[in-house]
Amino acid sequence: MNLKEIAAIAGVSVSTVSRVVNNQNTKCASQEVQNKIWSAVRSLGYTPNPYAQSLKRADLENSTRSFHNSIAYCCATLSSYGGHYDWELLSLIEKEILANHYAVSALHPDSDTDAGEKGSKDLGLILIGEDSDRHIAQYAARYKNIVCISGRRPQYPCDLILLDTHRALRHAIQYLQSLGHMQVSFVGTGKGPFFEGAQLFGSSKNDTRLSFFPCGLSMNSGLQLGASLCDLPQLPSCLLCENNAIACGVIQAIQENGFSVPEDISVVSLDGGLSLSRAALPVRVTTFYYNKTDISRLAIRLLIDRIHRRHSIPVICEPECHLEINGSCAAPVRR
Amino acid sequence: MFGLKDIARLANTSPATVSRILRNPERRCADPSLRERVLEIAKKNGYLPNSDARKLRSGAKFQVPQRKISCFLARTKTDAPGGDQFFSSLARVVEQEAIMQGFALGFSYSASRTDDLLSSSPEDQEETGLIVLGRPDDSEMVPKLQRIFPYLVFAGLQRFDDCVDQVVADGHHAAMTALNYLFSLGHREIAYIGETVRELRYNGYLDFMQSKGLDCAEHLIAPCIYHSYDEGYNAALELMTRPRKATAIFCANDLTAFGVLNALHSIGYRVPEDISVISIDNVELAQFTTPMLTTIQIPQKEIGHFAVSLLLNKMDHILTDQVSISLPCQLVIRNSCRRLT
Repeated sequence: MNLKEIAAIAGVSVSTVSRVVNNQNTKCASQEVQNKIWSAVRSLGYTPNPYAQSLKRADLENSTRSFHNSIAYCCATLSSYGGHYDWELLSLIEKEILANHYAVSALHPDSDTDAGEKGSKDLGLILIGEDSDRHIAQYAARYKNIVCISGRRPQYPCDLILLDTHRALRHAIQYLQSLGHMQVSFVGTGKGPFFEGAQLFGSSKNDTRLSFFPCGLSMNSGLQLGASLCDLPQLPSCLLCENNAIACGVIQAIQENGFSVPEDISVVSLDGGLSLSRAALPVRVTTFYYNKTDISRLAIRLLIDRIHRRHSIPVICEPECHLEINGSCAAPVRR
Repeated sequence: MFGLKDIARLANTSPATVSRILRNPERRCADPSLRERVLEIAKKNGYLPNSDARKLRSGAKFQVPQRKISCFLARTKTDAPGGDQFFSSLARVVEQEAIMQGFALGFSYSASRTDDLLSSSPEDQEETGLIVLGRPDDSEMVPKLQRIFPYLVFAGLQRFDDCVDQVVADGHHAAMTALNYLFSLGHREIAYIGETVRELRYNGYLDFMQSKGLDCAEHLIAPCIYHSYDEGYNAALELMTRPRKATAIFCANDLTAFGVLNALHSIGYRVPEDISVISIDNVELAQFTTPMLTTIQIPQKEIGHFAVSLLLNKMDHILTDQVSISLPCQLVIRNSCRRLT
């Protein structure tokens, strides 16, 4: 089945069929003729010859799709609040770039944004983490095509994989409430979307009492915080940690001080950092997480789509947030 | 791309000769040195035959796609073509994208044929992806369909809270964009013409007026039973008989706005000198009204593109998780709005 046969059935020329099938807003045929062509397409089960398509498309795609061209990735100013990178996500992104036949180039976040002339072969940039709008605009000026992976919406209009921290927090709080917790303590850095989300919940009308314990994003900070929590007159009923490292540290410290999880205190984390929820602890951490393989695939595909100019408006993709119940949560103790 | 023609040019011979030599290196040419020359040039320039071209020329069989895409126009009540311009043109965009991305086209269903769709058996639908266009009236519809169609993507103007993959150009946001524009032009008395029941654009209007502390009392709202030219026409006539006049009218869609424009004209109001009009959709006809209609562009092409890509990624198991994709609506400024002085 090809264009010629459709043309014969619809009683128009091959080029008319081609225009109608390939171009949505064509004015080359009346509505009736267009309907006739489409019904022929449908009834005959026409599909374009993939060889012909790729022959025609080859110019654009072959010119960009080779290891001579690279896609860059860069961690945003994450380093400024905690020196914490999500290595798992970074390696998945590298893999995905390579799987799509591009070379990888990594950018240091603190490098001078003007000094990147040598990066002119980079066709696009994946920006991981939350960054200021000013920074994003600078990157966007240097790389025409840019996709951000971020926990909040930047003002700057660009393609975005939104791992909405706020939504994950809402899910987590709902989950803890469903277990009967009336008091939720946030544990995380005093900066960034986690902190902002926690504050927003604090200011909204709520039956649940909320408090915030500032803590670095490492396991060590978690250990210290856990120890200090045990010195409090009363242990909080549940902790909502910014990442798994903190959660593991806190659990470790709590157990060293003679309490147990989840009997005395429940711990939930929002995933981040290495998959520590499976660390060799007596209790594995219940987490709310985003599927990182999906995130990297979405990001690279969105970027390539833009590089090939298949879309030009800023698009926001929001993957689903999952709950992995691992037994670090239980109903609160009655005191 | 370095091809036969380029070799022919460099070797000063014809592409046909080059082709013969490369296909059969033993071939004897009239000029024995020619063969060496052609092979040398091909080697030096790294000539590679284009496999796509070969397959096309030889008429190689290609796998006819087994996978189909069906559209379900959940908001379209009639079978008549053009019954609902917005969703039927969206369906056309989706079908075109589907073909280009290697799907075969399945049947399209309108809301009046919902039963046919629901009675199809799940076994037949493993290779069929369904795109639901617009929010069905029955809130249980999508979960029901998901049981029959394992691959389902919702495309529309209002976000679902349910568990479904979706591509959405937010209607609420579109309303906000339109109203913000009117506001920036100095309009404060903004009327609304359109549906008022379960209508996102109406809710957007109410939210906007409230957030700006503006009056959105009864005298500014002219409800329609459904969005159509006639309803818009009558609503506008009725609106203009009221004692307090608005300086601008926000119409829920272009079709309604066409009626409004004609009604205003028929009773002697000039647009935009006497009253400004803005709407949402940017259907093709919006540029042919007098004056040309300022409206909000719903990114139809992109909705179709991302809905089909998402479905493809799901069927190929590239993505396993549910994804929501949201697209921005952009203001298209034409001549139907005026800055208040």
